[in-house]
Amino acid sequence: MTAATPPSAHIIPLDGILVVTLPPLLGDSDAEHLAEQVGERLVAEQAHAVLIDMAQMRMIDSHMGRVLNVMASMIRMLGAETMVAGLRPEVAMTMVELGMDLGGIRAALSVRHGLADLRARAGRSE
Amino acid sequence: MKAAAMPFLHDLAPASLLSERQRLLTVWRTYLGDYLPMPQIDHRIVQDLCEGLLDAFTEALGTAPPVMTEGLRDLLSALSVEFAERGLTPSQTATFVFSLKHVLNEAFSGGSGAMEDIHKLVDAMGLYSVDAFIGRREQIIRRQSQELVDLSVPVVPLWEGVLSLPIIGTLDSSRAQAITEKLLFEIARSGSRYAILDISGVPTVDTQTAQHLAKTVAAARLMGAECVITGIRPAIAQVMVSLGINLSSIETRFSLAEGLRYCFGKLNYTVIQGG
Repeated sequence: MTAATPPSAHIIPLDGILVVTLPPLLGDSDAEHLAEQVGERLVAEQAHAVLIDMAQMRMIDSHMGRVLNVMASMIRMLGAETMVAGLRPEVAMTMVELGMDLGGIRAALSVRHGLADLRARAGRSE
Repeated sequence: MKAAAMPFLHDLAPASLLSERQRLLTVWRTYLGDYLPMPQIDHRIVQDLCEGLLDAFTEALGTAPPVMTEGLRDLLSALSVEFAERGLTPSQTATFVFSLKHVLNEAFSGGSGAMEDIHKLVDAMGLYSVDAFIGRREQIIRRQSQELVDLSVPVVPLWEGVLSLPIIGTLDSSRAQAITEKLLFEIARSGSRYAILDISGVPTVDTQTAQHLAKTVAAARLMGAECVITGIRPAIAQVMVSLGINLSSIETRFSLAEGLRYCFGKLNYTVIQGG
């Protein structure tokens, strides 16, 4: 018997790409664990890219922005690429108004677009 | 200021006004021709307005003390709407109503003391018509500004995956906000990866405008869409450079066609001339 906790992120490996689906709201402690979990799965699955699905997220604060940046740096160090997908218009606008950016993390309109993009790039580099 | 014609009204009772109706209207017509020419309005319409106003005025004068009747209010509102739509000024409208006073003054043979009530009533009529005039004009202005807002944010799909946004007019904060919102929602809805922001219709670009554009582009980029800014005239480019505005992180092209060509290149499309 566990107390109800906010849903955490789901990580699904898909042909060398880790798809990380973030819940509508991610608690601070979950956010801290996220990079760790993603790093471990990345190595275990020998993935070449991480696609972070943000379509469900209704807001993003500066803390979450930092978490994403740290995670992207870590992923780069592990030799893989990070891409975010499905940012909502209102979330994108809020981030710009707050002066946040994702430090050059590439973005895709949706998971579908992101997967196609990452696969095309992997195909070219091989 | 007496007209050539001899005064023909010996009292100001409604019955007297009624019996001298035709002569009063003739004097009024002459007065308007001399002092308030209104080429914007057909003289038959003016004639109708004069007749209606005189009749309603006569009726209102019959009440004790004289006050504006419902019919008089309606007539003045209609008159003001008519004048407003034909581009006459509020003071012209008021002057038209006040001219009734002069007509009666010219026609009346008695002393000015008896005119007191008439002055009061006619002045109130004039002021009321000015209010109605301005009310109508504000209505027109509100409708036009709403139309302008609707027109100001057109997002047009140019090609599969390519949206275009022709921005026309000055880009202030509220418009920039509306444009950004509309563009981002259209990007999300249509799944477009490219958006061309054409600013050929923007008269000047200052630091603030450039900031708005940069924000729009940044937000679209976060969503995974790339923006190209087109239609930057050489003069505007020069102003932007001298203001120290740097759009180097954003793709810019001279014309909308060049912007589309850039998007085609990114989408791996080739345009081939047939035949």
